[in-house]
Amino acid sequence: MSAPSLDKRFGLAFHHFGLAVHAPDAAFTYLDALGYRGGEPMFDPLQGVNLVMRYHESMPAVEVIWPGDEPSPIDNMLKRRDSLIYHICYTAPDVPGTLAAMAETGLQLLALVEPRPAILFGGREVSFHHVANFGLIEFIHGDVPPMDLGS
Amino acid sequence: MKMEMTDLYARLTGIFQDAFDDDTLVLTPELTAQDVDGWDSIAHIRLALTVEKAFGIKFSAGEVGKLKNVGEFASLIQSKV
Repeated sequence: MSAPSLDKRFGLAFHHFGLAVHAPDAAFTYLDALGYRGGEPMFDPLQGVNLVMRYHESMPAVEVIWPGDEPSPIDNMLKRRDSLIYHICYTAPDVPGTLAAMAETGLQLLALVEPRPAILFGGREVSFHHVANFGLIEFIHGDVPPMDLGS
Repeated sequence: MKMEMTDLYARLTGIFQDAFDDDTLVLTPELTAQDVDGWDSIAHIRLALTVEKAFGIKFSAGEVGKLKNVGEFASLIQSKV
């Protein structure tokens, strides 16, 4: 898969969709049948969820996320649903510049958590922001080639 | 000058009643997300965005996620207006 170009205005490159589920088996079956492949599931203690990335040679990458044994940030979201694509993730070489560019467009942004290392991406920092009337976005901080993030 | 807490609660009550479509909703400092039907993580974000616009304030990273009840939410708002 070739490296995606950065959006000129926001300086972002698409990385994956985030799919929250109660349990991952059906998602694995579905994605595997489509030709997705990926790494081993892992538990992220900072986010309190189980995670695995699934990649495809021609379709967008999907991060499958499901609760662990303890309360997790996706519990409430899943109370009335069996699954939900709830975030879009981008690599972001210049997060302050991206946030400034977004603010200049008049978008209302809410920063949800301080940047924190993500075990799924080799300890690189990630942060979550909500764009009003668009949804939840995740940034993988730094100038990171997609192939170094597992694609 | 800080906004009086009673005025803040009055405005916040209207925001909550609109958000949860419940004109009978009464806010108390002890009220939590568990007490209000529909107050999930997505509703929480929408509340924060609405409050930012209504009060002309900006929350910083992590502030809204740490709130445990309406009392903490009101105090956070009051610290910014």
